[in-house]
Amino acid sequence: MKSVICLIRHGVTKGNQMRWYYGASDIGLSPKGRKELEDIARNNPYLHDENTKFFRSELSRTAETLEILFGEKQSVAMPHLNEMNFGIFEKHTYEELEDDKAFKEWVFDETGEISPPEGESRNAFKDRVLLGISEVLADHGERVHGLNDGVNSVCVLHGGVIGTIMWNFFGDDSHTMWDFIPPPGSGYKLALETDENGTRPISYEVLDHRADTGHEKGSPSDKPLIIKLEDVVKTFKTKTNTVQALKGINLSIAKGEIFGIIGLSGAGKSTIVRCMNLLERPTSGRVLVDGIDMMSLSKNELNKQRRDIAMIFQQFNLLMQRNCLENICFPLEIAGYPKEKAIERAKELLEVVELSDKAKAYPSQLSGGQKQRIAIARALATNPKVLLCDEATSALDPKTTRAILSLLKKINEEYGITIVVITHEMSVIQQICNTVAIIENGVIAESGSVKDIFANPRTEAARKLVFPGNSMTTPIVGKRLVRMVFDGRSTFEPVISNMIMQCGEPVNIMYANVQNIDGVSVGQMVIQISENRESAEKQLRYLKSQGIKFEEIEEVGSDA
Amino acid sequence: MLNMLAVQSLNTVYMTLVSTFFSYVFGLPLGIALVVTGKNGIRPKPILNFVLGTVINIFRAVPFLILLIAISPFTQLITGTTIGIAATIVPLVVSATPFIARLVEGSVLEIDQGVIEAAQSMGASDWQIVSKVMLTEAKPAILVGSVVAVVTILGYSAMAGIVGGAGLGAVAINYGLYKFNAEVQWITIAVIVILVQILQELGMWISRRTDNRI
Repeated sequence: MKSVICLIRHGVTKGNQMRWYYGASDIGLSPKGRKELEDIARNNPYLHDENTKFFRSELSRTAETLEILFGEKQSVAMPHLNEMNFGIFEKHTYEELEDDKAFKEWVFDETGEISPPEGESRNAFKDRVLLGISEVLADHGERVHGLNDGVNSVCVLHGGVIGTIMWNFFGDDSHTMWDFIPPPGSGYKLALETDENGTRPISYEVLDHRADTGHEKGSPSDKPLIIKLEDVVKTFKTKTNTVQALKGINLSIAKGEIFGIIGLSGAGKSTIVRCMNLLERPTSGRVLVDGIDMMSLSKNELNKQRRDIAMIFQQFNLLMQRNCLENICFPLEIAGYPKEKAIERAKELLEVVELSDKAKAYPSQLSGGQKQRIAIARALATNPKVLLCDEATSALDPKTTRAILSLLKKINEEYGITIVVITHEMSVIQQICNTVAIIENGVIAESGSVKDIFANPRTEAARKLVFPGNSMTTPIVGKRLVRMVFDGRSTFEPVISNMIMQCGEPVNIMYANVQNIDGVSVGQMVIQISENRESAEKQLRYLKSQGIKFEEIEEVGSDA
Repeated sequence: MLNMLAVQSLNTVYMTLVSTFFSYVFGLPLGIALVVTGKNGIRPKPILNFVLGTVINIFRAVPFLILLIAISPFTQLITGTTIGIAATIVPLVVSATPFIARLVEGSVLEIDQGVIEAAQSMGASDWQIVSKVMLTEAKPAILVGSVVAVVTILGYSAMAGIVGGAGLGAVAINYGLYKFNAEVQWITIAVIVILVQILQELGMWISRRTDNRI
């Protein structure tokens, strides 16, 4: 029996139509693979009717992809695919995939029609792609890595039929397609009415839940939590007055995620993170780390628990009288490691942070970025479960910041350490965080996935951070502004120029920013549309027809 | 005469070093205690801190000469005498200890609060913070302080000559001042200056050698 794996690059729901894009990693499918996949869809009564359209998608620049636009009937029938239930993950490793001839035929074209990107040898290219896919398979439950460009789902074909489709690929086997159409996190949910057996759908409705994908609902609630703050209040008393730094913070951080806490200075974000390891003792509330109530611990127990919660700081806080190696040994000494073992571990960590040549150097001889690397190595020494980063990149230049952030990301991916990032810079959040909480005046103004908040900031606090500084300072009177949000697909299309050509009306681009967030290209653009009401309506209709999310906005950021 | 100068120089050095040593035995923990129990310390104890601070201030406020005489019963109790080398060391230690406690306090307070916090975040106990962070990080500053302390104690030891102490101070007073021998007086002063110079330079050299912050 043939078992083939292919990745759905992207699934979108538009009205009641489903649109799927197929392709594996950034190579797409071989022509043969594409044809077979198309045949499967064509021959499947659940998938095909006269409304089904097949395209060669323009998504991949290097190879063939298949785009299927399903008719209404298919969208209803989708949940039925689950009943077929043919697919299972059979291949788990790179080697197994390498041995699978059918897989190779599908993903690579053995006739050589798929060519690697310029500057990459065919073998290197193949290795990269295979490795990427096998990582996805071996690693389900963690995040999809090795793959980018908006891969959010995996489809396993088995015996010539579409078997399991893992939307959003969080590796949670208990979920079926019933839960996953459309992909969670998109803000849409499918409400299904089924017959009395619960097997056949009678009717369905796509519900737009985008407005309430707050942290409570949108959080990866299936994942076990590592940190939980319950109604945490912190009051500082000075001689003359009392300051309430935190006014009842509720926060849940899932294992393995990179959680960002962002806010302007004085918002209370540092206090939050310092409450997590009790450097600051909350005035009231509960702090749970890995299920343990931190505030109930004795001093000794707290010290033991703190070995699981490492921390790095803006000013690095290295011991100036110890060299790098000794600095990394420090937490191990505290934990009572034998000296040789500590040195061995420290050397290992120096390698992780790529500073092996600085073992004998003193902190005063290092640059800021190097100091922070040593601080990270020191923090990792005791194999912590959580790494708290208190403005860890704020004292560094942009280039070093990026390097440190990618190091943190690597640590998160390789060791599965949960990272909490405190920052006042949105770019930091965008570069590494999955989830973000925005703090203002001691309360959480908004929280949720970085993608959601960036695409659809609901509070003033979030808007202030999403629109950097004074990007729009000139007051614009009497003109309508529209903010468009792109998902990974639409940014590939020349929307604006098409719109101008279609509507025959010029638009003014006021602000544009496209970023790679968590593997998906997300961008936003603020345009000024026509003053004429009719033309404006036409322009908006065009945007609507293209399935682009947009909203009319008030002028923002003019006070910044 | 030269012989006597040499002997008394050695006595001075001996008194100074022994007094400094004992002053640190008491002063160092006292200084650390001041920091640890202080308002921003790792174990704030406001009342204890206040009492310690006040006692130290009282001892520092009393002029050495007065203290020397005032505590002579105590000196008698410990050494069995009120004159000579041993009898000089006791008041020197009593007088220098509070002074050193303040010097140590200042040196330890120089440590970046963040470094101590980092150690706390790693789960270091208070004792580990004192021994592995405060003392090691403040070491160069404490060494610089100790040079100041040695020179001050040297000066005090000379004063002790007035009440029958030993050392160069006694020579300067007994031979120089009381016997109007200006020559001896100047020579002893010169020797003291040289001693101070040597101790100062040596101390600073050691401190620089051990400081890794440069």
